[in-house]
Amino acid sequence: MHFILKSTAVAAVSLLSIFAGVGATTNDLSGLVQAPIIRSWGTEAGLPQNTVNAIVQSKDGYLWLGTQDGLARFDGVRFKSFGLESGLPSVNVASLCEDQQGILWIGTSGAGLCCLRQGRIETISGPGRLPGSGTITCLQEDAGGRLWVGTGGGLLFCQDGKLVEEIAFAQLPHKPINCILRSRDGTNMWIASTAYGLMAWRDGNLEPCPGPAGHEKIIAKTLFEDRQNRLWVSIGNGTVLCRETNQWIVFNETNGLPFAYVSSITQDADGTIWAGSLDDGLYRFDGTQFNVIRKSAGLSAEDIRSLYCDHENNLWVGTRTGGLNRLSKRNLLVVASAQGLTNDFTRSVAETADGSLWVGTIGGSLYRGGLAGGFQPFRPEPVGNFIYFYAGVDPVLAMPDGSLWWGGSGAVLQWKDNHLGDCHTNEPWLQSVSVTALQNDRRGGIWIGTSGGQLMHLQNGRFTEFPKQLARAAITSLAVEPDGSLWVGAAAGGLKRIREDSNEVLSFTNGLFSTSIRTLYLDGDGTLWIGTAGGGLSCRRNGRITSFTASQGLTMRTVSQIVEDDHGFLWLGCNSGIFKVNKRDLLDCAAGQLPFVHSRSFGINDGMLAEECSGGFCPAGLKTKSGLICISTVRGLVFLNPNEQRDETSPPLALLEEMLVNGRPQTLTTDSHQPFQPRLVIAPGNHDLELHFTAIEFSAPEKIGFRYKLDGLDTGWNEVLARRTVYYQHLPPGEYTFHVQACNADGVWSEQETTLAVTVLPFVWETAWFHATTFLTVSGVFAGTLWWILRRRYKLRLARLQTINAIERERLRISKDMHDQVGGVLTQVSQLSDMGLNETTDQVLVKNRFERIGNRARVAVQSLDEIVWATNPKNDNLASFAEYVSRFSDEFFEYTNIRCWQEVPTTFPALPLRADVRHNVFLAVREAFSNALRHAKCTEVWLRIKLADGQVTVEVEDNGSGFTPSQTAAGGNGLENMQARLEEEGGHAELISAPGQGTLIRFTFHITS
Amino acid sequence: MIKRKVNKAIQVALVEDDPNLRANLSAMLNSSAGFQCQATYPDGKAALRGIPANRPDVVLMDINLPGMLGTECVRQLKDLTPNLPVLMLTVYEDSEQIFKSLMSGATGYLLKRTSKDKLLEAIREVDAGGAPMSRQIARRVVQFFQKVNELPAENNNNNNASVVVNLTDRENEVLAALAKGYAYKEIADQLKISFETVRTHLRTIYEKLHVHSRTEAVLKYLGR
Repeated sequence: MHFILKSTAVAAVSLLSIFAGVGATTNDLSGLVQAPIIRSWGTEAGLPQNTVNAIVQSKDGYLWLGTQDGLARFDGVRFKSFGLESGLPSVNVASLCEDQQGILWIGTSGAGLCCLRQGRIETISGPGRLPGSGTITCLQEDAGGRLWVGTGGGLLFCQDGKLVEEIAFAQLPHKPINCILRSRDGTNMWIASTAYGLMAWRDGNLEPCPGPAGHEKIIAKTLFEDRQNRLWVSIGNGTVLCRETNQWIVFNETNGLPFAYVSSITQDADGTIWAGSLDDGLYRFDGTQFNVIRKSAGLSAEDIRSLYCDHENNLWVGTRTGGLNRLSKRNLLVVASAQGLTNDFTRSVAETADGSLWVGTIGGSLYRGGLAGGFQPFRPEPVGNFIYFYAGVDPVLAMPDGSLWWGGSGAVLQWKDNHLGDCHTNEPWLQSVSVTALQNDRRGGIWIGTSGGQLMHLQNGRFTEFPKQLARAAITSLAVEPDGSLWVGAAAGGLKRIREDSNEVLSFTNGLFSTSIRTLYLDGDGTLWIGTAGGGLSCRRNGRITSFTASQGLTMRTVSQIVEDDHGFLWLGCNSGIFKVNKRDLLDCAAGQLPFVHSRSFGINDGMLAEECSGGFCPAGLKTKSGLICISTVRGLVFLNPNEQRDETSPPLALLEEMLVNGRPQTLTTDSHQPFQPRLVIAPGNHDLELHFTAIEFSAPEKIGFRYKLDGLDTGWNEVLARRTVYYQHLPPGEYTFHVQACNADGVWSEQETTLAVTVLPFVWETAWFHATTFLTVSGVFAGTLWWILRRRYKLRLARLQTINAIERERLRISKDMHDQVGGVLTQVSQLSDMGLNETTDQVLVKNRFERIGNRARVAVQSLDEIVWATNPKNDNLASFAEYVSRFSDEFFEYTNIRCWQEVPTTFPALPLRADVRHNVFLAVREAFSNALRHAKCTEVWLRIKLADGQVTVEVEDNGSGFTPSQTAAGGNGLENMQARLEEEGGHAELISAPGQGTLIRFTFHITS
Repeated sequence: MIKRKVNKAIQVALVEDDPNLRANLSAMLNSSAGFQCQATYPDGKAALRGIPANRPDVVLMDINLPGMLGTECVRQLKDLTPNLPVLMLTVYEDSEQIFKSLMSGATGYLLKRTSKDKLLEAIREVDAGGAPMSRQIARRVVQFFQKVNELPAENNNNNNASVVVNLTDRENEVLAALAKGYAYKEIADQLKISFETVRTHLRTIYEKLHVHSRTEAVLKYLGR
């Protein structure tokens, strides 16, 4: 495992060589050698307990952890615990070992041995009389597949599900075994005991193994053999022995080892030896010295109990008090507070000709420094009486002449020839805005964009304001074309282009998903790359703007920085980390020749302190002269080496973890003719299926994506990121196949998929032959009864489903109302205000617009009022209904020429009234009011609400023109609809009208107390 | 009632926690001839300190204030300045809260979405000694006094006789007409009384409601 970025052979520059140069030029390089990326998990993350005594990775990829409160299985995201309820004889797990058959052996402290075989825990009985044999200290399988069990009462073997002693080892006393180790070549078994030292079992003989002078009797705490066949033995305080080709080497405190003894030793895939001490940290062996890693580097605790290196070359560290730690490879370098950026909310970065890096921060002003010497706040001596220190510095621009410009709130400053140069702090246009963007033009001038949307041009100490308003929001980005024309991106309003020496503004929004521009990058081929807020990445090529979507593989929604490296890759600084994309792929995708673009992501798991990259300023992002990519984030500057090849991780295989039918876990049945196809058979009637799946990857577990489909139900793949569960409700009888696949952090899908065949068995009456037999057999009566009973059960189920559907419908209706009524009106309001804003000459029109805004807004609040009333269960009673209808009629007729009379009793009993009923009646009353207002030509309307004999009558009558009811168009007054609804409740609606006689609409329905 | 001096702007105090709404309302009042927003208060506590000292003519009070609710603020304010008319402001017509504040001494309520003209009209009316009442409230009042009448008799005997006040027949008639939908003017004509008398009746009804808010039996009935 390497923690400092290595330089590849071909690479001219790498971070390592930068570090290598450090020693010569600076006196402090400690700040730059970066600690490994350490992440920890404890009980708060789901670990059963914070003591991890043993770690082992099983063949299927899971990490198994032995704790003092049970066994835990970890997939990178979730812990599943096994305790007494799962059949464990004791929750204190001391040792773990997976054998060649895939059986996980679990040694407990005090309650003996057990094993996990095909998901079930089986207990192994042992010789009960042997004192101390209940404590399993170590487990090891020998070359012949025999399990060696070290106990507190001597050496035992597991045979036919029992623990037995072997005659060949009868000479060993029944004393505690510390450790057992199989040599890599399988020829030796090492046995370590405090009582009789280190022994080797070779060719059927037991031989003592003496140590070097002064350590003749080796009392080993732990044993390890590395891939170079060196035997490592920890023998107590401050001493580790290493035997290489029969020569012993002694390491002690002079080699950096702690006094506390080493409790665990392992080797990672890079060949580095790691040692964990009892209470004094983790040690990395560099060939001569042991270098400590402590809590200060991010370790959760310093009392190491177990070490394990997984298949992805992550080092896992189990501790006594701090749970589990993962040490992983660093793929990037972060410069933050530890490197002198006392404020690490970084913005623009620039590199001047002298090799200095300059970075603006929010709050800490400007910093100057380099990768070698770290960073220092830049506080030049003021010249004259202006203030040079501005807390927030967004843009920092290095000019071709070697000078540096930076902007802050109310100031544009220059540093030239090691002095403050052309500084502007009292410009009236800068008084209440800050400078957000700086861009040099091709004539030695500078374009300046502000937070207020102004664009200025500075040449020879003179400012010229661009005469037209470009943007109503902050200018976030500027880019100059070779022909001198300027691209302007703002936080709102899309992309603008200004030709050189012209005041004409061309606006571009077609093809952009978001008109809020975060950053612009014009590449050497004339393609303009556009990062937006919310709309992802877009590019403009040959006059056409194309935006990239998540389905094309670009999942980031906000792109704040775009930097191109020397190998044709774009590095995108986003809110969810840094993404590296091949530019050629992007262009092919934009041209429609490539359906999908692969990107690689970098985030917390790669060593970033925060994944959010800062943005909204220009210049954004930097390629240093040495070819490194520098992206500023909200926590420090991130440097990546494009020459550094990150290990390709193949996408993990999706695994099915659990299958639940109606909430109960299911076991699989295997097909006789398809033994490798797992099959789930679901009994008739139980049709709710829940599947839990996972994929095991430990490097960036949270970024694993999944897609699944159920053949027979789903038409295509469903993609999910964080969710690892899928529900299928009311699966009809039939045959299905469930497919699930996983993709890694780079969005590459696994070629393999995991499938599960699902059979939902039908009820008897759901099969065709049933009907035939019922007619044919004499026992038809019996069958008929059976059929009737089952049918009735089915109907009850159906009725329940219909109730659920009714609730669903109601929810749909509410959301539709919200959208149509409130949303629609608010849209009108915003349109009206826009129109009002643009209208500057006609005062009457403006007044009219405002009036309409007011009216529409009041309508919106009223609609909301109605929705709130309709949804609040407090109103599910008759009294509330009457009050609301009465109040509504007041408001409805308030500004009309119609008098509304109400005959509504002062008191109603608080009888319950279902939400859908009261809402339906209310809608009908409203409809009746509207008809009266629009068609009836009436002057008076009566609203009557009566309650008699458990029947509610609601009447709306008018004194208008009336009509012959049969002549109205079908459905014209919604009466049929209302009739149908009320009939369900045992009520009805009627309409009494005749020409010249007014109209009476009466709704009646039953109400029960 | 206290008569206003003519030609002087009505001094309005505003108790509202939403700063935007507060700014809009006070700007609206100040831009209307004959009205002046004398002071604004973000919560009940500030209002109780400021209003008795500044003596506005009318108070507009939000029902849903943070900390002390508007209803509670009205109750305490009424003890300090008994004759000061208070109009409640509310977004939704939550009849429970509205009725509670009327019991506490408010003389009417307004929806926040009410148009400017209607709002000014209502302020003018309460300032002139009126007591605006919607028909739903009228119905609630009738219902309330019916319940009060049904309260156990021992409560009436034990307490001071003046505590349980019933509505007079005239007042009941006014309320019934109001509930049906008649305008004040029409009620005056029907009952052959003056317009001013109708307003006085309504004002008295509000005061009787307020009296009841201190009666233990009634408080019990209200479940407070």
